[in-house]
Amino acid sequence: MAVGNLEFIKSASGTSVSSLQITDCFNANYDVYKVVIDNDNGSNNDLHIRVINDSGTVISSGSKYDYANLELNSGGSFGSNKNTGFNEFRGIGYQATTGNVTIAYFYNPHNSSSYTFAMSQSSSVYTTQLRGGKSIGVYKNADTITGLEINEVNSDFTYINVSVYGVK
Amino acid sequence: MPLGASRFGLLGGADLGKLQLIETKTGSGVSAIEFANLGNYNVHFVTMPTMETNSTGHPQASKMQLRFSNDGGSTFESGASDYQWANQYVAVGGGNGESKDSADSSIEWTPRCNNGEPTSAYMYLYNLKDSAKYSFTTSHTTINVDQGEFFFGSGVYTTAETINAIRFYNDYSMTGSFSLYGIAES
Repeated sequence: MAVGNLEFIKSASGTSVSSLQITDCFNANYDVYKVVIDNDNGSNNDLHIRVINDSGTVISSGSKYDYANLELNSGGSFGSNKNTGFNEFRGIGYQATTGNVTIAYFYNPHNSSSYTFAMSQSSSVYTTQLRGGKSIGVYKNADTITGLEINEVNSDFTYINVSVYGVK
Repeated sequence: MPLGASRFGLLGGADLGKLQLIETKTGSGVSAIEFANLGNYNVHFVTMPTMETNSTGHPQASKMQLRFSNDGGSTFESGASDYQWANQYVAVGGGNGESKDSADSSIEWTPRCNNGEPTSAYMYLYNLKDSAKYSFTTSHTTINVDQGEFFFGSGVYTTAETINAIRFYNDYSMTGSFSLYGIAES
């Protein structure tokens, strides 16, 4: 068993799928998690991410998600996207026709006394132009969260790979 | 005479966690620091604990640059449109802004690293060893004290090919260090 600074917990993958769940990846052993997302898609958009609680329920209602993103475009003006009281995270990563990579950190997901916080950095190419991303988010319910569901927009993922690590 | 040193991590040794040190390199008065041993990872992590150059007067050319090699470090790709990058800078004076280029010969990723004004940073690099994917970067710097600003941003090398060496360089002589890590996936 690895006992170092970054401990691999679980990975999940899919090809030609509209959604990927990675379940039982958050547990009582860690407060902070690193999530690596690598995907390719037929269209460009934000990733839509929802949390899964310890009953296995995907939280998709109840106005519990706030998020804010900055889009860093190499060939145009930078943009922003934000929402409060929404039904999911948007922009913790992207889907893109020439690939997207994301490193996200989730804080306190398994702590039933705390909100779940998220922050991420992403990089992708949108129709020949680089789009970098920086985002923050909070799931505003003190739940025990055990996993994530990642959904596409308009087009299935060609592939999607997700790896989750606990940070000691 | 430029000085440099290397320290290697425990590739293939005991499992001490998935953030695996590949190599640390230091330089004093050098024009570039290169890594030609990238291991076998999909995601790499680089720390730059401190870096300054011998530049004065805050020239644009004192910003740190990055290039990639597909021939083991014999040459580094430097075509005029090989790279794209985009950084957001945030300033203590209250201003912020965009710094970007959609066709460049390198990835620019830090504020100006003037003499006596060191900058620290980290960078993630993605897909370097994947011949079918672009190589991406995301990065974040500390504040440059004299200029009072920091950068966060992203870059891409827009050719899908295997990258097997990376070069961090500056138009001015650099003094500082880098550590390269791989993030293992199992």
